[in-house]
Amino acid sequence: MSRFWALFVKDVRLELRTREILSAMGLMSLVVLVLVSFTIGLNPTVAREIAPGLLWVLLAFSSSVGMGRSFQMERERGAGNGVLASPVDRMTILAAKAASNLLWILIVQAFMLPLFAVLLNVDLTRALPPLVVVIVLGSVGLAIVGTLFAAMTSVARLREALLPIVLFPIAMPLLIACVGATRTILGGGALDLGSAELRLLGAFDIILGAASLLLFETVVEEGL
Amino acid sequence: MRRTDALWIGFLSVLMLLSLWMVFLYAPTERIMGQVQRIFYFHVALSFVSFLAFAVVFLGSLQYLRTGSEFWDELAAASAEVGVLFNGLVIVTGSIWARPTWGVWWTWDPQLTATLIMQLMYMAYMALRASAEGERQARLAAVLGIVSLVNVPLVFFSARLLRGISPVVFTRRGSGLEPAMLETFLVSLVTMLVLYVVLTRVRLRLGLAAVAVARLRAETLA
Repeated sequence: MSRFWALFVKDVRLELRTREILSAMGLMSLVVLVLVSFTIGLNPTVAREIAPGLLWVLLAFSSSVGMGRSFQMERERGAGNGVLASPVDRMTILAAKAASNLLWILIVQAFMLPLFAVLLNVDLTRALPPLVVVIVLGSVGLAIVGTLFAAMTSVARLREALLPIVLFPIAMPLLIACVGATRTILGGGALDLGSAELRLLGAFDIILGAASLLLFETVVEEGL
Repeated sequence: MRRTDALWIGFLSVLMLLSLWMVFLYAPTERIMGQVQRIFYFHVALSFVSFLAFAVVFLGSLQYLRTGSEFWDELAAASAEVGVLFNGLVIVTGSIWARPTWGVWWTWDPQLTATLIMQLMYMAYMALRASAEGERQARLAAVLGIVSLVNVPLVFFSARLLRGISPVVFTRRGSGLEPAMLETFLVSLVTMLVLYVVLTRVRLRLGLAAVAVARLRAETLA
């Protein structure tokens, strides 16, 4: 457990020094939000219609930008192999990296939600608690799978450009479930824990989370 | 061309001709949908076989990780390509069927949506294969091949959630199949299966040859 924390704190400390990932994610979110708002969402009725979907499009794009960079710093300085050489089992490495990615995703979301509410004229006051639950559950799934794929694509030729291509199709069940749940919540409904969306969300997090943890070892077998 | 190849292709040709005759001439016209229903014989057969192809990708990936033998890796690659082709045809034939039936080329019907997502997943698999090299590529692709198939049931389950948003969904299966129709479908299915085998064999042999060439080149240059 302490190794997990050591790795996690290392990532947090690194990021706080440069804030590269957070700024890239934040700006990406902002740019996409504004772009979609004025190209598609100028009409208030339309804006309300697309709001649930847009929330998750923002999250998906910004998180792929952030996660794509999460192994970058270590690779550039050869530190990735240093981590692999230390006596930590691979699952812990993935878990720690995914946890720090999750943290960035949630921080960016926390900043984006007020902007999102303002630009799209969505009332979040009553919806906030259940919405936070859905965002956290969705981000967990996205973070684990995204971090695994980030490790995979960081060694490929196309690098970061390949991450969205590989991640988004796999993440579609998660996104469909999250958008559905968000739509219900923003429409004033309560969060039904037994609903199909949440069951799918839970299933995705568990199944693909487990698969990712198990397969990470194979991905980094030949070094980072 | 080796003898087994000739036999396979001969067998395939016979099946294709038989299939075409059965689909267009032997099978009766469906009462409700009319002539356009005939495309189902290809559409559904292609769909079954594309699932098989993706299952083979999973198997090849798993076996490659277990044994390290390039055969399994190249099998996964070959099967993925043919699977993407067949799955693409499922989408196209589905679209062709949808136009006269529902008046639109596309609808976010659960089946179509899930098939589209599957297509994207395996196209991404091919993109990953293309962008890495050597043993690294094989290992990474194997991981993606495994994750992709694990994801397929989730994809289909999630596509059904979309139904709440889109309008009425038709059940495309209709009522039970008449004997002549069932026969036609089964022949069509076997035809597509054999087509898959032929294409995958060729692609597999190509892949293994490329691996052999790379190894020879490395040895002579060393």
